Amino acid sequence: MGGVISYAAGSKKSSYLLGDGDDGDKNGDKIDWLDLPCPVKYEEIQREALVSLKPELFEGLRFDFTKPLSQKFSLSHSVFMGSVEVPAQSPQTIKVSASHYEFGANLIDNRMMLIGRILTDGRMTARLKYDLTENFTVKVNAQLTNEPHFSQGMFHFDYKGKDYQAQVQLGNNAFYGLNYIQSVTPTFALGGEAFWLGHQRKSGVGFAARYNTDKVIATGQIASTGMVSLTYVQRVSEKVSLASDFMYNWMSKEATTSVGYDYLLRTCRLRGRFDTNGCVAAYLEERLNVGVNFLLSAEIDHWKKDYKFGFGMTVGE
Amino acid sequence: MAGSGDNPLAKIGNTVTQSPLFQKSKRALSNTARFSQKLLWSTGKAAWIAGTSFLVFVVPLIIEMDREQQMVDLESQSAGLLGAPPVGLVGMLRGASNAPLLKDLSFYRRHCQEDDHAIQERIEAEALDLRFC
Repeated sequence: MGGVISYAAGSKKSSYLLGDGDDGDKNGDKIDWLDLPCPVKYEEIQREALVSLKPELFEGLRFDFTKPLSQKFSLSHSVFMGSVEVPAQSPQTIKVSASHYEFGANLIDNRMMLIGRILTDGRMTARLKYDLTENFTVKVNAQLTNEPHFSQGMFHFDYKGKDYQAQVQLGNNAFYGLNYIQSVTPTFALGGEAFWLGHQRKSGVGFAARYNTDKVIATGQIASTGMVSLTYVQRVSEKVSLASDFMYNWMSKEATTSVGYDYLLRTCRLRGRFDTNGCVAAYLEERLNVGVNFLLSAEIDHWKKDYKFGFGMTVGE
Repeated sequence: MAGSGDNPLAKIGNTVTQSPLFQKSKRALSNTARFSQKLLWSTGKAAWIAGTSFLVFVVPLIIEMDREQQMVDLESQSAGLLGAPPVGLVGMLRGASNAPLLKDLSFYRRHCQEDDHAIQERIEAEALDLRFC
């Protein structure tokens, strides 16, 4: 497990999740402005809220099997049978039964992570993450599909400084992006991003802020595409955290709030959430045995009268 | 008397049914009936929404918390019975039954790491969606 990418980029994050109570800068009143902690990457600013509030709900059957062939290399087989929503213009949701088998291979090393997946509906995904040096990382994503003009590829170049992180993104369709985040105080970080999409002549600028202590993570993000997003995650105890999220789109004047809980118990992980769109959802992962997890997913949309229930199993470490 | 009974009775009936008080009370009654039917219907809908939401949002939590509590009770009971952690062969056997805690830790850690690449994909997909909306 040591080869997996470290989840916590900064010491504050790891202490948040693994339950250490100590806060480093409680010891002194003076803040050393030259020794601020490294913030998380710009794209991961809202990661805790995303993980707690948006589990991968599904409808149907899901089965995942991961087989490690050596310490670094593993294969994965995955079957899904169920209903998928087809985006339609009418308010009525259209569900289509779909099923696929996905075969994948993972190579995870200290410096490199290589993941490939291929599906029976003709999609292929590949991801590479390579640490060239301790501070410089290259990530490549590619997705090939049967449908024309839907394939995409993206390069990310990340640089991690002492108390900042910067990233440059290059993608197909002439996509160029740049983002930067800097720690301003030991608990507060500010960042900004800019992107340019050549084919559609769109460009945008965004700003983000993150306040991060042992028990509280609060973030705010605003973009020129019209999106304002605020999240708040409170760790009530080492097993329980509560999260809430507010999204407002000033172009289309729509606002959504969701509130949820995330219980990480000894043999299960349970996430529940309710929404101002009239949705109530829950996602349960229960450990039946070593390496065998049982999944249950439920989503009730009272407004659209759309009910989705799914179950699945995950086998393998 | 029978022959002339129609006219006075009909007249009385007419006076009653055509009096404004009677009309008003008839309207009020039908309004009340409609309102109470709507109220019952709304209460029914609210009860349905509340009930199904409770079932999905709260019941798994209660069940899992109860199981957790049972496990904690069982472990504290067995710890109380056996007293101090024993050494030697008995300690090794006891160590085998401590294995659940190590397995729990790996489950815990795995879920803290939460399948990094799946999360990365979702974060990037969301970022793309937000940009290209």
